[in-house]
Amino acid sequence: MNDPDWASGIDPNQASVARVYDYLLGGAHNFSADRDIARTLEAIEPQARAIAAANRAFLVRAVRYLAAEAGVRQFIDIGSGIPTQGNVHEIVHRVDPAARVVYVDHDPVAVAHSTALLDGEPNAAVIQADLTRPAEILGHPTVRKMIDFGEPVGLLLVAVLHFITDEQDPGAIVAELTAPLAPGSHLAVSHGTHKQQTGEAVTKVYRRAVSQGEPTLRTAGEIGAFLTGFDLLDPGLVHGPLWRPGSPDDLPDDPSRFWFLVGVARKP
Amino acid sequence: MNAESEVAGLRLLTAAGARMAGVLDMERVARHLVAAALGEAAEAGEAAGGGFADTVGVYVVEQLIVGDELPRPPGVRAVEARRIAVGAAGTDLEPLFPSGETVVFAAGTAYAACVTGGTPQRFAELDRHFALEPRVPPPRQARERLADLSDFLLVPLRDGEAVLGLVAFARGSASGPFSDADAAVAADLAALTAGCLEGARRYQREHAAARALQSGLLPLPPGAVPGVRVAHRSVPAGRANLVGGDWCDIIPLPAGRVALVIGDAMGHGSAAAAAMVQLRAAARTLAMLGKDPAQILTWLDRITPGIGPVQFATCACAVLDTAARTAEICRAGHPPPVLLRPGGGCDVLDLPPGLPLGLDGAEYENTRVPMPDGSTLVLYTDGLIETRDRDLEAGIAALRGALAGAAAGLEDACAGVVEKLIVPPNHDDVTVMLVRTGT
Repeated sequence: MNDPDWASGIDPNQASVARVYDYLLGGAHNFSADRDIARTLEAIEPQARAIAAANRAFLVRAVRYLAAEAGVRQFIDIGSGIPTQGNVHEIVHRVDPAARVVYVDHDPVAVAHSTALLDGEPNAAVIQADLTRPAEILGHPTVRKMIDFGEPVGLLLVAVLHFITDEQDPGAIVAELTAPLAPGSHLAVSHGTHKQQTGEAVTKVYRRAVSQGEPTLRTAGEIGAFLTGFDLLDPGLVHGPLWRPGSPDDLPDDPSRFWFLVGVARKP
Repeated sequence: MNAESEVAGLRLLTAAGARMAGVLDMERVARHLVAAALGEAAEAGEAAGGGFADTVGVYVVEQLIVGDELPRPPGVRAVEARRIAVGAAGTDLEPLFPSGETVVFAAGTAYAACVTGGTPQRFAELDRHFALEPRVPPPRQARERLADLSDFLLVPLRDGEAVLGLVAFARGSASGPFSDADAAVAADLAALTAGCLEGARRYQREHAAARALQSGLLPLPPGAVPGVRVAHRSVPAGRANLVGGDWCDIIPLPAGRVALVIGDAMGHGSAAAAAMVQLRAAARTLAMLGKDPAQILTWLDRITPGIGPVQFATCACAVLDTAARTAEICRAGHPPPVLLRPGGGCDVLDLPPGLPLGLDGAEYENTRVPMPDGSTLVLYTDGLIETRDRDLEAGIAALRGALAGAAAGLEDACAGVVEKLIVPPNHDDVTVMLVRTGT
């Protein structure tokens, strides 16, 4: 998978999860099929852009915490998407330029953009791999080279586990990914949760029109179960904007309108 | 063939190809060929080369122009053709042989044979076609130029099996006759031109089809619906699309009622347009059956998944009662309509958002809104307000701003809103419709 065939992997007429997300975040790396889907999502959830931005903001705060306060020096970001503002390696390298980051995505466009961005970065790399096959991620030569499994790792599963269906057994995938991690490793998760009509409709749009997009919204209990065996850090599993906000002004009036739950947990 | 003339021939083909590449208009393709063959400079300042011919005429069979199917088996017959470009070195033949003129090449002439047989023709004297009594007395220069022509070469414009027309090259005494190598160059030039003409023809045909589709989809002409006045604009996305997924419609109903529909089928261009046409027709039918807006949207929601590759659409629907001065309004994921009050001031209508069409099973709810005479309902698609860096909320605020300062006249108000909010080239289809009650 080191040398994927970009041209055959990209169908500009088929929307992709990564490119729809890129559009919602204000990025320019998307095609009209992606924008059409994003606009449909906005018709269902007028806050779609704000939710995408809040999810990204959680990632930034979590990574900053892990690097600056928890002392984590190596990161695996699965479902990293198309590089945008505040990429993980940029945040981490501000704390320690020697810290290492491996990005993982299955979307060829996301991987191509990441490859271009990371050109000349010795301490960051991207691989194309699928979350549903964790052994391929853990065994990937780039991961083996850059990540020392004897030391703590920050494993980021941000807005990605909800694209794993129950049949694909996300719990087992998380368990397999976290098994080799050293004590002191951290897991950061964000995950779409139920929201009446809106959530169902958004799920339907993804299922119908986005490649590899089969979202499964889960309850707090189901999402919390992914963190089994880890110690959940304060403030626990909460709506995205509530996780250690930068300032009280960042708190929206009604955080539950941002219908995704986030949490950061530490491996004892 | 000697090396020098081979180089000259290649240079001519390259120059002609560069001029004609990407030109999507048959007349312009032909004019570029004429200019290249006469050796005219492509751009000011560029040196004009020696001409390949002293006169050039390009003829395309008439069926192609009028859009009929392509011709008929070979055989001896007359050929109707349109002269689409003409030129001569050192003089202007246009007044004598105007472009755009339809001519008939009689059966048995070299011109007719070139087209029906698809074979080049060569002769030394001005054909009867050119010797016809001119309608205007030819200026001396042109007369002398024509009289001097002594070698004529007709080359078919072939695209595969089809012969689209011909190119007539001619030389005067000073230029000397066409060599065998020249004839080969002429054939190559004609083949190149034929390819470009065919591309342009197809483009023009699609363009015409899109225009026909679009003109059939405009809401009714002004004054066609009693009790309301209407102004509307639609701007398809990008420069190439003439039609898109947006539509708006006004449907007069019995008892002084009028249905208004605005919608946006997901996607751009012809795929979205194909879905839009079906949704528009369905909405029209449902309205005429007396369904209320929520019922219309419920049915459209069920229809949408089955209409093709476009799977989602948003729509807003209103039924005005001009006698009761009220409207029932409902929306399906569509941005909210705005109501301009007769005395000024505007409200974004507070309607349940509704889910987009195509999710099958959504529920819709009517809202009754008072519409005193002189009220203006503003219906629009998200392309009017939403951009990459302006989300729905900011867009609606911008729309309110534009409407607050809008002109009193309906047409001017409509044009003003579009002008204020849209910076071309717009990335999304834009449609806006203003409907004012009490005429």
